[in-house]
This record gives sequence, C-alpha cells and structure tokens, in this order.
Amino acid sequence: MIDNSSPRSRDREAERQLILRARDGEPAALRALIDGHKDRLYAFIWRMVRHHHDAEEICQETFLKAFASLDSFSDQYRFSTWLFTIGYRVCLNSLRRKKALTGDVEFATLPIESNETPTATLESEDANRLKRSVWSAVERLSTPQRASVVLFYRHECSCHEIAEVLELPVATVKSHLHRGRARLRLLLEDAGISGEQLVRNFAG
Amino acid sequence: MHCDHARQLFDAYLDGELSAGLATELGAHRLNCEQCRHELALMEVAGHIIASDPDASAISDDFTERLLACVSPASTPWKRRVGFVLYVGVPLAAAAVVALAFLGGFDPKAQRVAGQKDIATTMMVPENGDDTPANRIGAPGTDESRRGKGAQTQRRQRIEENWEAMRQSGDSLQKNVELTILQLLELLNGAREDGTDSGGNSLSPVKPPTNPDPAKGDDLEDL
Repeated sequence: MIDNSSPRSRDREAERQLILRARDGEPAALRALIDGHKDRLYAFIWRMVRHHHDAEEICQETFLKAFASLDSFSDQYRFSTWLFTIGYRVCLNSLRRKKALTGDVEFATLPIESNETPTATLESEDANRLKRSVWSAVERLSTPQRASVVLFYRHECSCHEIAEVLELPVATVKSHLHRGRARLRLLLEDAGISGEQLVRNFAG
Repeated sequence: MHCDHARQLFDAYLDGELSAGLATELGAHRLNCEQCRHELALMEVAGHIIASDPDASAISDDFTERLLACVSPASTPWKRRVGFVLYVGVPLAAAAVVALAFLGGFDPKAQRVAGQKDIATTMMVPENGDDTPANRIGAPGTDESRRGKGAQTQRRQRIEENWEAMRQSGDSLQKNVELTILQLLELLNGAREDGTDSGGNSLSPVKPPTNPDPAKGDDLEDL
C-alpha cells in the first residue's frame, strides 16, 4: 500500500501522474520529464562515451525509446532508474558499434574536451593532477566497472539500483564495483599517486 | 584487528554496508596502521573526486526543444502513423462510407437534392435495370417508403442518442467508431428489410439482391 504522507511517496505519486499525462502525449508532461532527467542522464552517458555529440544522440534515442514504451513502464520503479537502464543499453550498443568500426575504444587516449580546464585553473596543480589521474583511471575501467563506479559515487545509486540499470544481479554489480576500486588504486599508484602522498599533502 | 582482516572490510566500509561495530574496529585499526590508512585515504579521495568534481561537459540548451520536435505529431514515427491509420482512420472511413451509402441510398430527399445516383442506389436497382425513381425500392410515394421511413427515423434517433451517451461517458474514439459502425450496419440491414419486401409483407425474411455474377460476390453482404 502506498503511504501518501511521506515526501518520497508524494514525489512518486507526482511522477506517476506526470507519466500518465505523458502517455496521452501531453507536451507539457513530456517536457517536464525531459527537463527533469536530461542533465543527470547526459552526465552519466558522457562519462561512458566521452563524446558530447555521441552522448546527446544517445540521450535523444533513450528518451524516444522511453516515450515509445511508456505504456510498459511499471510505477513500482523510479522513472530515472528505468531511463538510465534504457540509456545504458543504448550506450552499450553504441560502444559495440564503435568498437566494431574502429577496434577497441581507448578512452584514456581521447582528447580531453576544452571545457574541463576552467575548473582546473581554480585549484592547486597537485589537486588538478590528482583529478586528472582519477578520471583517467576511471576511463580505463571496463564498461560495467566504469558504469558501476560512476553510478555509485556520482549518482549516489545503491547497488540494487545499479543492478536494475545494468540489468545484472546485485552480486555481479558488487563484484564490478570492488574490482573497479582495486583497479583504480593500481592505476593511481602507477600514475605516481599514493595514499601516503595524499595524506601528507591534503590531510588537515 | 590484523591488516588482512581490515582489508577484507574495505569494500563493505566504502559501500556503506559495514555494521557499526565493525566500522569502529576498522577505524581503530586505521589509526594505528599507516599502510591501511594510506590505502583507505586513496580510495576515499578518489571516490570524493568522482562524486563531486563538476561535470566536464553539459547538454545543449536546445536539447529539449529538438527532442520535443521529434515527438510532435508532425514527425510521428511511421509505426505510430500506421497504427493511427489502422485503428482510427480505417474505422472512421468505413463509418463515413456506410453513412454516405445509407443517406444517399435511402433518403429520398437527399436523392432529390443531389440529383444523382450513387453506389448504394445502384445496388438497390431491380434486376430489370429500370432505374427510374418510381421503380427504386423505397422510392417516395410507395408503401415500402412509408413503412421504412418510420423505422429508419426510430433507428436513426437511437443512433444519435447512443452516440451522445458514448461521447458523454468518455469512451475512446476507436470504441465509439466501432459501435457506430455496428449500429449503422444494423440500420442499413433494417433499411434493406424494409425496402426489399416489395410484396408488401414487412415481416418476410431479408432477401439479398440477386447478383448476376456470383464470382463478384454480394456487395451488401460484404458490408
């Protein structure tokens, strides 16, 4: 039974009503769904494909697929989780196509887009180097490891939610997350960044 | 707590799934063990950067407008267009054809105003081919016409009442169209009952018009 008294259940009810209106093709409801989720979806997809144009195309395809199958959406799930599930699937297909055309996609060798630099200038060189190393290491993770790490840390998803998005068992998701962390540590150490150095430079 | 045991707890701790008791134990070990402190610090800082570093790229400002343009009716995907034609367009067209056939074939006033014969009228022409107004089934002035006119008026009224009731009940367009077609067919069939009884016996069974070429089928039966 739905408890309509808590803010969370009120949000779910508002989302359910929005989806019902969107099913009828109401433009305002479609716009609200897009505006409410596009930034988070794009942020996730961009971290997966590291290309602005590709990420936007995948987002567009994701929304179109979601709208085309709104009738099959079950309101026992959060709309964002369902959208991310479709987005991840579209993303995997895009990466597979790209891999088939060009071989392995090595994200770490892709040029860093110019709008990453402005934030860097506001911080110390050590902090910037640390950030670059961390993101470089993230991009070297396997696709499911990268998705698990990004969803867990950046989108604050639980392992159960990640399992729904990746359509994998929770145990498999935990394995990807833990192996991803272990690989990150190794890659950072290879890049000359150690915990000892961090504690010395940034502690206190 | 030894380092081996502590390292086994790192992931559960970073996942936020470690019990309060074990988290305290790990914290105490961390204070005393430099190696474990450094390893955990590295993973915590990496996690913090992944979580909070500003987005390096942003979605275009016009994304929503471009997407909405793709889902607007003007650019409806072909499957939806086909679905619309199949489930709405075809029943509507069928209803229109039946309605036109009925009005054109059985409304003498409309016949006079239009001053022309249509398909339905042609189908009602007797086999002798005489298409004069006086020889048409249900033509004005005949007994059949007078008997049929009352029944037709009642049926037409019933359709109009049902249609209004359906509109008020908020049923779907497709359902309304389907029901209307059924009722129009019933009306058309009733009109045939009234009209084909040229011997003056309105209770006699319906006799479909004879088709000289059986291979072509019976147009009225097809309806």
